[in-house]
Amino acid sequence: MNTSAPLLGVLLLLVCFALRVHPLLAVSLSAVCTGLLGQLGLMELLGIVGKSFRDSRFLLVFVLVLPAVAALERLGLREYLARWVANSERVSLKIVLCGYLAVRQLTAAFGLTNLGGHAQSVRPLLVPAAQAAALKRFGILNAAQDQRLKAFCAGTDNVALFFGEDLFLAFGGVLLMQSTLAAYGIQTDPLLLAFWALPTAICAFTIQSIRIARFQP
Amino acid sequence: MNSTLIPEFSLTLMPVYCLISIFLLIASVRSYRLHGTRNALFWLMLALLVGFADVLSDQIIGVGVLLVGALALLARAPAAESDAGRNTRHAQLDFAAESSLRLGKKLLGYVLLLPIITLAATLLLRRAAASGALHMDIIYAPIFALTLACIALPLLLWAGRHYSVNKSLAAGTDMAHQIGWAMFLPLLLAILGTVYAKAGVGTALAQWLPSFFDVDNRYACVIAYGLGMALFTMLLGNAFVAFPVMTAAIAVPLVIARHQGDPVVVAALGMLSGYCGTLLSPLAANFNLVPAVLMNLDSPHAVIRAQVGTAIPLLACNLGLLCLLVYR
Repeated sequence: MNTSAPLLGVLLLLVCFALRVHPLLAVSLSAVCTGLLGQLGLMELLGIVGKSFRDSRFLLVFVLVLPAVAALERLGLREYLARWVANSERVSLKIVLCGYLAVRQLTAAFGLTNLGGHAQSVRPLLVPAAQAAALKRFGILNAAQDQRLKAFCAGTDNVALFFGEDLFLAFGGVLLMQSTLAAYGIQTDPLLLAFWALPTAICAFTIQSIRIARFQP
Repeated sequence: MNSTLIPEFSLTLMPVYCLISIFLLIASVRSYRLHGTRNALFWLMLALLVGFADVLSDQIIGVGVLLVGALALLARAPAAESDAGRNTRHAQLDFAAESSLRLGKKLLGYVLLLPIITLAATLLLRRAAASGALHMDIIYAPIFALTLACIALPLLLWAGRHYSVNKSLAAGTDMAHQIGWAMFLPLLLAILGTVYAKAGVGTALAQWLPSFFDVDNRYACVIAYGLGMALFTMLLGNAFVAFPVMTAAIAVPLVIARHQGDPVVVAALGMLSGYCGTLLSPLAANFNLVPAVLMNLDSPHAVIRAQVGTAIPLLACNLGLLCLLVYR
C-alpha cells in the first residue's frame, strides 16, 4: 500500500460533509478509515483513540460553568441587564459590542481565557445588553434580526478570544508551535512567537470594530 | 488542544474530571426522566468514560468513545415544545421577571464573581505552584480556578437564600441537554487529529501538495502555507490539529529549509491563518455550533455567517503579513 493511502480518509471526511452526513458519524468514519489505511492495526487504532480521549477530556470542563450561569439566568439576570441598558442614555449598541471586544481580547491576551465564553458571558451578559441597546437604536427587532444580532454577539466573542489568546506565551497554541518546530530541530522563543501574533491581533480588532460600527441587524 | 501538551500530568486534574463526571451523571438521571433511555445512556456512557479514563485500558476507552458516538446518533433531539414544556417556560419567565426586580444589582455582582473568583484563584494557585507549596503543573491553575468559581457560585446563591443548589444543578443540566451531542464533537476532533498524525497524513500531504504550486517561488510557498492552514482548519474544525500536518507538509521543507524564512513568523502567522479557518468551520463545535444552540438560533450556521465578514479580510491581512514579514 502506498504512503498516500491515508489521504483517502481525509477525502472521505470531505465527501461526508458534502452529503450532509451527521458530523459525529463523519468524523468517526474518517478516523477509523484513515487509521486502517495508514496501516495501524485495529487494536492499535482503538488504543490511540482511547489515549487521545483521556488526554483531551479536559475540553469538557466548560460544563461545570452551566449550573452557575443557568441559575443566574433563572433569577432574572437577562431582565435586569435589559432594564439597565434601556434606562441609561449613553450605552449604545456600538459601545456594548466594542467594549466587550476590547475587554475580552485584552483579558485573553493575559491568559484569562476562562473569564468569558458563550455560556459564561455571551448568553447571560452580552446578548441581553446588546438586545436592549438595539431596541433603543432600531426599535423592536423581528425574529430574523434578533437572530442576526445574537449570532453577531457570538462571533464577536470568538474573534476577541482567538486573536487575543495567542498573545499569551503560556497559551497552548504557542507551546504547540514551539514543540512542533522543536521536533525538526528548530528552537524558537515563545516570547517571540507571541509577539508576532500582535500585528494580526491589531488587524482583527480593527476589522471587527469597523463591522460593529456598520452593523445593522 | 493537542494531546502532546498534556501527557504525563493528567492525574492531577482528577478532581476536576470527577466533578465533570458527577455532573454528567446527574444529567443522565434527569435525561432518563425527561427524554427517555436512549438519551440517558449517552450521558451515562460519557460520564463513565470521563470518570474512569485513568483506570481503564486505552483500547476499552477507544471502544467506549465509538459507543458514545453511536449513542449520540441514536439519541432523540429534545422534542418540539409540549404544553407542559411551555407552561414551565412561562413559569420560569415570570419568576425571572419578579426576581430581577427583587435582586437588582446583586445579580450583576454574582455574575461578576465568576471571573473575579477565577482570576483570584488563578493567581493564588500559580503562586502556590511556583513556590512548591502545591504539587501541581502551573498550566492547570486556570482550570482549577474556573472549577472553584463554578462550585462557589451555586453555593453562594444558596447561602444568600436566592436559589437552592438542587435547582442550580437542574437548570445547568437543562442547558447541557440543550447542547447535546455538540458537546462531544470537540473531543472527537482532537482524537481525529491524533489519528491523522499517527496514520501519516502529514507525510502523505508533503508528497502531494507541492505539485499544486511553484515550489521555487518563495511567496507562492508562504501563501500556500497560510491558505492551506485556513482550508485544512476549516475542514478539520481545529487549528491545533491542522498545524502539525501543514507545518510538516509545507512550512518546514519549503518555507524554512528551502527559502530560509523566519520560523517564528511562519509558525505564528500560520496558526493565526488557521484561526480564520476556525471562524468558518461548521465542525468547530464549541465556537460555532454550541453558541448557536445556546442562543436558540434556527440555523446551526448562523454564527459562521456572522463571522465571514471578519474571517475573509483578516485572512487576506494575514497572507499579506506573511509575505511581508517572513523573508525580512
